Parts: sequence; C-alpha cells; structure tokens
Amino acid sequence: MAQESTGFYFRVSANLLRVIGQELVASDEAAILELVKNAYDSNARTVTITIEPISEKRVGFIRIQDDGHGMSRRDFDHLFMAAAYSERPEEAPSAKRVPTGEKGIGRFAASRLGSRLTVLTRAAAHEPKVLKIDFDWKKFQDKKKTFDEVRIPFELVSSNILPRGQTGTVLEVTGLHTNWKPDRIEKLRAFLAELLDPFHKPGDFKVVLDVSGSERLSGEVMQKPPTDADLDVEFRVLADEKVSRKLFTASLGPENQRESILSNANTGPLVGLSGRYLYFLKRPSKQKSQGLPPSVRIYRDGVRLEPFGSPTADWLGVSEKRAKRAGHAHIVPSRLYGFIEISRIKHQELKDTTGRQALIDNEAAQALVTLLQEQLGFLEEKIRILVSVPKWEAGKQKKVIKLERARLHALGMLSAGLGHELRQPLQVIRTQTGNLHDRLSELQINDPEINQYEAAIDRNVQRMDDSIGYIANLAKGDVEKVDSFDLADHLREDSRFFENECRAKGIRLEVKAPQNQPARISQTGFSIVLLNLLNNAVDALDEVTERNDKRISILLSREGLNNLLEVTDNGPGIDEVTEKKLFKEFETGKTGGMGIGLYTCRVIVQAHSGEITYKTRIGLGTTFSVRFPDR
Amino acid sequence: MPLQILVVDDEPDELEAWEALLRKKGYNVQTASSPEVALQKCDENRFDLVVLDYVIPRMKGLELLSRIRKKLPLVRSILISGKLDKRLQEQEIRESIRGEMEVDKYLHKPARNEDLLEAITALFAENPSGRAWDTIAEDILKGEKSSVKKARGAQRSLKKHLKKS
Repeated sequence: MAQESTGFYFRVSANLLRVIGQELVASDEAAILELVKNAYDSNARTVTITIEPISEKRVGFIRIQDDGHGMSRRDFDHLFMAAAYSERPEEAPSAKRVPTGEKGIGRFAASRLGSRLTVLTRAAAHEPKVLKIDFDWKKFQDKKKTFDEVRIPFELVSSNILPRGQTGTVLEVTGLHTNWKPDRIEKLRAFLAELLDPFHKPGDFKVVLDVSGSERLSGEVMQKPPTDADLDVEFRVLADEKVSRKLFTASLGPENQRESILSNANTGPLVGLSGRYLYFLKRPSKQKSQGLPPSVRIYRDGVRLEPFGSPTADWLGVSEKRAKRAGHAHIVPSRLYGFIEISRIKHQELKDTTGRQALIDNEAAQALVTLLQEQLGFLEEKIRILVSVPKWEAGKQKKVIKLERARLHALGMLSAGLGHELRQPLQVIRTQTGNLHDRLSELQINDPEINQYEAAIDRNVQRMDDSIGYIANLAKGDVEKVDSFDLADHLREDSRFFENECRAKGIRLEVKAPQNQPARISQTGFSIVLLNLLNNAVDALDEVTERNDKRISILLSREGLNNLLEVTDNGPGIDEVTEKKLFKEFETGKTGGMGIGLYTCRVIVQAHSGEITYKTRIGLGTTFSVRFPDR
Repeated sequence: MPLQILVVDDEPDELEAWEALLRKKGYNVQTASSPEVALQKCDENRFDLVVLDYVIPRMKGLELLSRIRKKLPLVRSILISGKLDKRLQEQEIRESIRGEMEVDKYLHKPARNEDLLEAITALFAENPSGRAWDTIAEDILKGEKSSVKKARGAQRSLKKHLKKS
C-alpha cells in the first residue's frame, strides 16, 4: 500500500502467515494447544474440541468451542486481527486468570490445521446474533499481496452452535491438512493433557474432546500422575518460614511415609505453595509415566506455566549439576518428575514476564528456585542412599535376603562348632590359671601384681566366652522371624556386651531407652544391626587418639510405627571417599574390616521394611539412625 | 577315703588341667581321653563322680554317661559343655538335659575352678567324706530310712535305663 514517503515501511507479504503458521507452530497438536490456551485466556470454563475426521461421506472439521467471554467487533479488530500481539497480564479483561498465551500467534496456528477458519463469537449474552468471520487462508498464498490487502469478511448470523444467552467463541477449521486417525487423536489427547496438573486438576477449567464415532477417544482430557515412583517427596510451604515435607520410598514399604517440618528462610512469598517430586531409579515405563515426559513443571491453579518443564528448559540446573558431578550419585533428569503448584491469588509476587517466557526474576522467583533446589538436594541425598548399593528390584532383594539368611545359617553352624572349639582352650587357660594360683600359694607367693594378672586373664576369658555366645546366638536366630519382646530391655542387655570393651578403650557408653518398649520385630535382626553399628562406632573412636571424652550414645525411641535406634559416636566422621562405598559389600575403610557390616545391616533393615540413614560431620562424629517398623 | 573321680575329655590339655586341680584338692582322680577307656576304667573302679565333656568323639557325653550308669548306677555326674547356650537359665538347661538323662550338675565351659569345686562339694554335702557305695550300703544295713529311699530310687532309675537300652 502506498504511503507518503517520510520514511520506509515494511510491506508484509501475506505469505508470512504461512511462515508463521507452518514454521513457528511446531505441530498440529501444538496448533490446537495454542487455540486451547486462547480459550483459557478468555476465561472459558470448558473448551470442547470436536474432531470429525475426513471420511468418504464427510469433509471433516475441527471445532474448538469455549464458553469464555467472547469477542465484540472491536475486540476482534483490536486483538484478534493484530498480528503477533498478545495481551499483557494486566490488560486481560479479568484478573481472574493469568494468560497462558505466549506469542500472540495462536490465531495463525489455525492456518496450519486447515485451509479455512470460521470464527463464531459473542461477547454479550443478550445479543441475539453472533459475529461470524471467515478466513480463507488460501488468499494469503498470494506472495504479491501484503497482509493488509487481504480482506476478511464478517457477518452477523444466528447460530445453533453458540445459542442465544451464551458468550464464547467457536473456531471451526475445515479443509483439514491432516487426516485425524485415532492414534493421532490419542497423541493430541496426551499433548493437551500435559497442560493440566495431574494431582490437582483445575476446578474451573476443563478440556473435553469429542470425536464423532469414538467413545474411547471422547471425554474430558485429564493427565494421570506417574505411578510407582521409587521416591516421592511432597512439600508444602507453611507460614513462618516453615516447610513441611513428606518422603515416601517405595522400596521401604508403605509404613515408611514420614513427615517433617523444616525451617526455611525467605519462603514468605511462597506460603501455600506445594510441590511434589517423583523419582524413578530407572527410566519409567510408559505405563508408569502415564505417557508424561519427565521434567519439573509449574502449574498455576492447575494449568501449566510454560516454559518450565519443556525439554529445553533446565531451569533448576539439574542437567548442569549432573554434568559437573559426572560419575557420582545424582539426579538423572529423565527420571525426575516435578509438579509445582502455585496460585494466582496466593502468589501474586510470582509474575510472568511480558513475553510470558518465564517468571519475572524477582525475590519471590528466586526464593522459589532456591526452595525447589533445596528439595531436590534432599531428594538427591535419598537417591544416593538408595543407589549406593545395587539397585534392588523386588525379586533380587528377596534373593539377597535369602542369601543373607543362608549365610547366617552357615555362620550359625560354624559358630556352634567354633564355640566348642574355642571354649576348650579357654577352659584350659582358665583352669591352669587357677592351678597356677594354687601352686603359687603353695610356694607361699602372694603377690598383688600376680593377682592382678590373673584377674585380667579371667576377665578376658570371660569376654571371649561372651563373644562366642553372642555370635552363636545371633547366628542361630532367623533375621526374618518376627518376635514380640521388650526392645528396651533387649537393647540394655545387648549393650552390656560392649561395656567391657568400651571401658577398656576409655569410651563412655550411654544407653538412653524408655523403661519398656514393646516391639514386634526380629530380635536377631535388631541385635545384628546394633552389634554392627556399635562395632563401627568403637572402631571409629579407635582412630581418635587426641580425645579423652570418647563417647557412644545409644538412643531408643518410638516414632509412630517405627522403633527408632540411633547410635552416635563423637569420632572422626565419615569422609567422602568412605561415604561412597559405605553400604557396599566387601568394601571397608578399616584395617581388619570385612566390609559386610553395614551391607548386612541394610539387607536386614530392608527385609523389615525399615530404613537406615546416617548423618556425619568431619571431626565431630556420626549418627546412624535405624527405623524398624513394627510388623 | 577321698572321693574317686573320673574325668573324661578328649582334649589332653584340658584333661591335664582338671586332673591337676582335683588332685591338688585331695581327690582321687583318674582320667580317660576316650569313651572306651572311660568304660574300661569303670569296670575296674567304683567312681563316686564322673566329670565329662558334652562332646566326646564317637560318643556323646550323655550316651557315655548312660553306659557308665549301667556299670555304676549310683555314680554322680557333672557335665561341662561349651556347646549349650549360656544365656539359657540353669533351670532350662537342667530340664533339657534331664529329659534325656539325669545329670547332677551342669557347668558352662569355660568354668572357673571354684565353680567345679563348689559343685562337687554341694553334690556330696550329705556325706562329705563318703564314697557313695559304701556309705549307702552301710546305711541300708543300719536301716536308715533316707538311704533306703535313695537306694530304691536308684533301683528304679537303673531299671528305667536298662529298659531304654
């Protein structure tokens, strides 16, 4: 179009439409998604997508109908007809929703789907007629024409599709470029479902698919959450800078769900936010993932906020971290699902950028990223514990327990024979020491120093005898058999076994347990775990020479269904190198260690659907916590 | 006349240690390092007490005891074992052993010297000087009721064991 030349002007070829529609919109599914987002932005409560595939009898169409606020002639001219223009959040007619639209190209997306688009829209419920606009995209193929030379005709008509008294917009695409076969529609369904929060579907927005002739493909579009995750961390931001967190670990059984309240600074703007991480120790099957591609997504009031969670957006730095820590336990992005729920009312500080490419990088957004990364850190810690031993598949684990039991049985047989074998020389030592004493008396030698030596011999014979008895007893028991007994009493008795050794090594051994604690767990299993943890604690303290306040404390308590045993030493702590192979079989950081202690503990604890964790600080000590749920 | 004691153990060092202890305390001690030797010695001597290990090659301590009892029905016995669980209460041990065979006293191995000496003293507290056979025979002749009772008891258990074997 000619202009008075006071400068130069772009003349936009009508053909640009093809470029936008075909090139910027990646696929037909993405095109429909754009149109659905437009409907959401118009405050629609329900969007119905009707697909009538091309057949011998029918020409086929796609109709996207919403019950949103519709468009007046002026709206249409200002908004719909302004290319690449998108309302800013504050321009949206209602503050109820934050628009999801991105580039203002949704309307052109329709050109990708078919050669014609008919728009029916009504903005005022009382209007008897609807505005009908016809787009014939073929007209835009003329490269010589510029955009504004293509006239788009409109008329006011009566419509059955958009009955009187109802606002909304209907987009009908005909001259379809794609033949919508069932598997393609299935793909579309999955694609649309991704827009919705699987855990809390929005209360005020739904997408319905209506495919003529197919009940299977028709119906409300919903996203099912992935199932059977190995780790499930749920967190919620509470008031007063507190965060509640629940952890569920599939391999440790359903009783293992625990909730803890943590202090977390700077979470003020996030109060009410909730999130959930699901993690799979190996890439989930399609059945488990419910077809959902892995990533961490943000949903505002149940509707996906893009681009968080798109394959290219590593907004939490997961991949980056992975690259940095190659070879270590880490979160593998393709096994991680995150569902972060924010609310437009509670989290007004989490604002979209103009282009709605992301959130405005303000304090609230930073607090969000920090919080999510912290929770990822917690998840990673848990993953590390789980993957630091061979991955346990159900069957494999059973096999391991069986093996462990066989080993204990063998040890039992061995120690019964060994007991006899070892006690015989002990008997000789003891009797002959007595005889020596008698002989010395006969010779009228009564020397306190000799008496002291005798006493030491006797004490150590006793200690060996106790050890033999203890091991024989452990080996005799069944680690899977559940016993009903007083755990507090049993713990005191077991600990007594270590009193001598601790005294000899200058270690103060404290046992804090309730008067009684009835439990239903494997007595033998518990004893083996305790024995191993105490052995480790004593060994850790052996490495310390400069300290004279060596201490081991054993704490028994109850935590819901769990019997919680905590063994703390103030030894040197566990260094990173040792930490990595802590629960591995035949790995040991100790001279003379066999490297089966913690491995065995883990197997036993897992066999009881329990959990074994530890905290360590270099130079300060280590605490091992074991949770044995009552059976 | 001191008590005659037979110690049975397959471990020479252990046997030697016991022998030294008991001899020093004035008992008349004989040793056997195998069940065969033990049985042979029982033919030649009338022991008051047999001290034996629970585990003896080729024959369990209890089986040996029952065969010794056939020869010496009134012999007293002390069983020393490293095999039984020390955590078990003395009562439970007595019951589990008595079910098989009467043992007068059970000692856990490694036992202290005083434990064995105390056990012997306790077993013969009723007639500290005495050799079971002679005193009981004398008592029976004197017509003492308690000894007659004892003898009848011994007869009963003898019959029982004979029947069993």
